[in-house]
Amino acid sequence: MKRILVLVVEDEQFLTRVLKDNLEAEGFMVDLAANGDEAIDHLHKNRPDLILLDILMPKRDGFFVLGEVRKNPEWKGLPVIVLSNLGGDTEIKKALEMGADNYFVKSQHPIEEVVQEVRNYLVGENKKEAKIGEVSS
Amino acid sequence: MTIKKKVQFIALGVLLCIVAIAGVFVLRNLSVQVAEARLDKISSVVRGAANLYAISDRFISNPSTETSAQWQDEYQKITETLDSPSFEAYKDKEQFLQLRRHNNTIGALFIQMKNATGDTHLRARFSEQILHHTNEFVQDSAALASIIFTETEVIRRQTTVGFFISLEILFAIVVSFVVLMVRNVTNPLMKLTDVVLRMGKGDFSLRAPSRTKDEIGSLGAAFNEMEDKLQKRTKDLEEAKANDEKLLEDLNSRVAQLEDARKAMTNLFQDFEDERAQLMEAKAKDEALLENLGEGVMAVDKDKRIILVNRVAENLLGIQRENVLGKKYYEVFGNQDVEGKIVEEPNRPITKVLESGKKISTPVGPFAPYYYIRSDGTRFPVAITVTPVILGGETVGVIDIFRDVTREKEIEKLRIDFLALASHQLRTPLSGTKWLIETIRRGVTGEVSKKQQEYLEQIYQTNERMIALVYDMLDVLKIESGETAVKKKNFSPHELYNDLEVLTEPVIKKRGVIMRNVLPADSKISAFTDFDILKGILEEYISNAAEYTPDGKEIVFDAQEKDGSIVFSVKDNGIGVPKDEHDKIFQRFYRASNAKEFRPDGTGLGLYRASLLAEKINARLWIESDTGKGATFFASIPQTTN
Repeated sequence: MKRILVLVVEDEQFLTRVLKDNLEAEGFMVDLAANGDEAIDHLHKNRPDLILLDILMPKRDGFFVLGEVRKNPEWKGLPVIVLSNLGGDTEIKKALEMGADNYFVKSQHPIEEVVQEVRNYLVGENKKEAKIGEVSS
Repeated sequence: MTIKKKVQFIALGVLLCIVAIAGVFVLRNLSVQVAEARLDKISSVVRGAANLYAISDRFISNPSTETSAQWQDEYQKITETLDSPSFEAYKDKEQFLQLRRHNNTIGALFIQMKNATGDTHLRARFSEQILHHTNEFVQDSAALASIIFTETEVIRRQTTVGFFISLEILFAIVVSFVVLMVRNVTNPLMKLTDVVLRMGKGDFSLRAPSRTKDEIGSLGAAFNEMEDKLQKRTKDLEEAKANDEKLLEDLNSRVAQLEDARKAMTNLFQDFEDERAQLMEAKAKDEALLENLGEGVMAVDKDKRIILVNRVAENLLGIQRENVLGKKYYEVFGNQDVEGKIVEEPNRPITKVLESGKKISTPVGPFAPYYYIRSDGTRFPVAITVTPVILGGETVGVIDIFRDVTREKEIEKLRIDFLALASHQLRTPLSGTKWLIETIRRGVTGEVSKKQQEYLEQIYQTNERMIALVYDMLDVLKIESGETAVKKKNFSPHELYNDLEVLTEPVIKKRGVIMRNVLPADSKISAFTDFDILKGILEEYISNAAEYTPDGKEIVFDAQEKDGSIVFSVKDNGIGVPKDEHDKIFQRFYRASNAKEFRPDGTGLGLYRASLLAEKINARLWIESDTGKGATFFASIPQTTN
């Protein structure tokens, strides 16, 4: 069985560590990207099954990645969950409008929940569907 | 007959008299003259006759040629005299005839005598006869002379009488004239004078004589007419005079009144002058104040024309007072909204306040919804307060007080950016530690002993508290900075409750309390305010109630209409709030004494946040509670319709 790949896009080192550990404990494969460009790079090289996306990153930010993912028909149907500490309504709204499937404000959710949400999209009978179709960025 | 005629008659009479008198006089004189001439002549005849006698006598004694010549001369003279026309009247008179006879006889005799020169005797007889006849002649002539003389006297006398009679007649005429004058002229005139004098005294009762059919009569009649007219005129004048006097009285009283008024006015004027001086002073102070206010002030009249602008306004807008006074304000400077769209004149605050008479002010803080555009086209954000000027119930103008809030906006932007950054920068490590701890606890990093789990639990909770604190602080800072805009809408308490249920589910579950509402199912209450802000307040209430209520107890949500407000309430059966701390619990970081005991890890910011939110929507917050007896938290909003 092919192992499910999750791409974690996050610049904070210890957070990526934490996410990786937790996800691998669930049995997922984890790819790491520290900024937008790296993320796109990984997308091209190793198409993941789901993206955990931070917003505030150096160089290109999460919105850029979102835009790219939704623009490219190759990555259609790819679930994107935004993980950010930006709690402002504007950012959340923007991310969702740009095609993010969900938005977690890190400090408000235990990692458990995040993991569970990933499972919802990737595991089991009633998988959640990613947002289909083009979303203009 | 008119006086004129009478006078004419009299004049004529007088003239006739005079003529008569003259005539008589002349006649008299003539008669006298004639008589005297006659007398003269007869005297000369008498003398001549006497002479002749003498001569005759001489001749007789001495008949010389000389004497004869003398006698002839004398006799010639007498004859001539007798032939004179003076005796024309007597030529038939006997005496005169006799005289002539004598004369003739004498003459004849003389001639005979002369001729009888030789005969002395004859001569002597002739001489005797001549003497005799001459003597007769003398006597006759003397007699005639005396007759003539008497006649003359008679004539004289007669004519004198006639003269005097004429004179008398004249006199009578004159007298009658006088009488006439007196009767027909003088008397009436005197009467007239009387009338006039009486008239002069105001007595119009006497009538002028007017009955005679002459000039005096006409005069009298005319006079009477005049008298009547004058009487009437006098009466009119007297009436007029009476009126005038009354008028004068009125005028005088008026003048007195005016004089009083004038005095009052003068006093008033003096008062005004004093007031004016005071006002000038006040005005100067006001102007100084206005000029030195840190804010731009512009006053606009009801025709939307600028009537006042202070120096700060001039500087801010890049305009000059002289150039803009009287101009329509929207032609002088422009207005843009936050998005940079031009705000058209009907939507500009000044116009809106003019029309509505209600003040408009932009929110305090950097949330400036408007930009003013300078004369050079650049713009700057403004905080404005536009107030109507109401006089007698009518809006006669507005005053726009505005401030350039560029700096504030910048500062606020910095603050917001800082907040955003700070919140992110603080949350990131905190969420990191949260997940790290969680990861360990989950066993992902390996097995964890019981004791380790206990410690980890503590660390986790501490971390959670920090996160909560950071959140609350940043949230409060955000609300304080005024970034939250108020969006009003209509909603029912049910809607609100439903949202609250979802929102507070975690804390409710965590605390093991039960929440319910007691809203009537068909409640018609409709609230009109910012939904999210009110929700925020009530969420605080609910989580407060949950935090400080022991397990299993109830929290009851309600909403009631009361006195023009809608009152929301959250009732719990928790630890309550001591009465003396009811006001303080809404203060920043304040925790009630019993709350600190019950739960040491509260932030003290929840109710403070609620109070900030309440300010935004004009909500009133209060509490009813007592220690250990639970608490009911209230929030009321004014009941207004959209």
